[in-house]
Amino acid sequence: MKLVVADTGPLLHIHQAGALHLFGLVGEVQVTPTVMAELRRHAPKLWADGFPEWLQLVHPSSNAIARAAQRTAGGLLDAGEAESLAYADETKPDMFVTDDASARLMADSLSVPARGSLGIVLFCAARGSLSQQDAEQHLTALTAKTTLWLSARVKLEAARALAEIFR
Amino acid sequence: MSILTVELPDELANELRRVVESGWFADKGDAVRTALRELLGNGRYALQERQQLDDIAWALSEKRERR
Repeated sequence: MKLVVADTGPLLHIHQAGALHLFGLVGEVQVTPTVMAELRRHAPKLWADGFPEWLQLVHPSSNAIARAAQRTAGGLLDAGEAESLAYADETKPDMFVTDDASARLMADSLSVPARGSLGIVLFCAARGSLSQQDAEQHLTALTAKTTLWLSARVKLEAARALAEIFR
Repeated sequence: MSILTVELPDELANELRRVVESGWFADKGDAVRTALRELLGNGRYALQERQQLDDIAWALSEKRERR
């Protein structure tokens, strides 16, 4: 199981795709207070009955908060992205999950391994945690039911990847 | 001017409605034109595609390691 720090986007996108449980198949997922607040704003009913076991609310250090504030003030990242990335930079998890291109680029420059929503779905399939039917359904939902942008080429390559995974 | 008709996922349509209601844009067309200008102007989508293709390669390598 992996230690994951997640930004708001992937949690929201995979929730919209009806597949939020996939995060629990990957490992323990840590979210910062700003990410939690953004999730509450965009999906008020999410976790209304309590948090799943795989989710942990974490609190960045004052240094991490200061670094996040600088990146937000500089227009480089949004508040949730900046805070979760600063926390990930400090704690070095197995994976930082974001669908924001700038946040991911910055994570790369900080040597924090970064993945996105698509990676989470395909990783679960590759690890044998999903049936082919479920994986295909989640991939379809990710493109049809969420605000995540995937290019036509990515959709095609993702479908090919699933075919190879389940060959 | 060209007229374009597009289908939007419900969530995206709701987001579009929200940003118009927020007063930032005159109407949905105004919001879509602004978004399209930004998209075409900054090349960010190319970076995001590269990152997503990297995710696909990562998942496939994970599968190959398990075989």
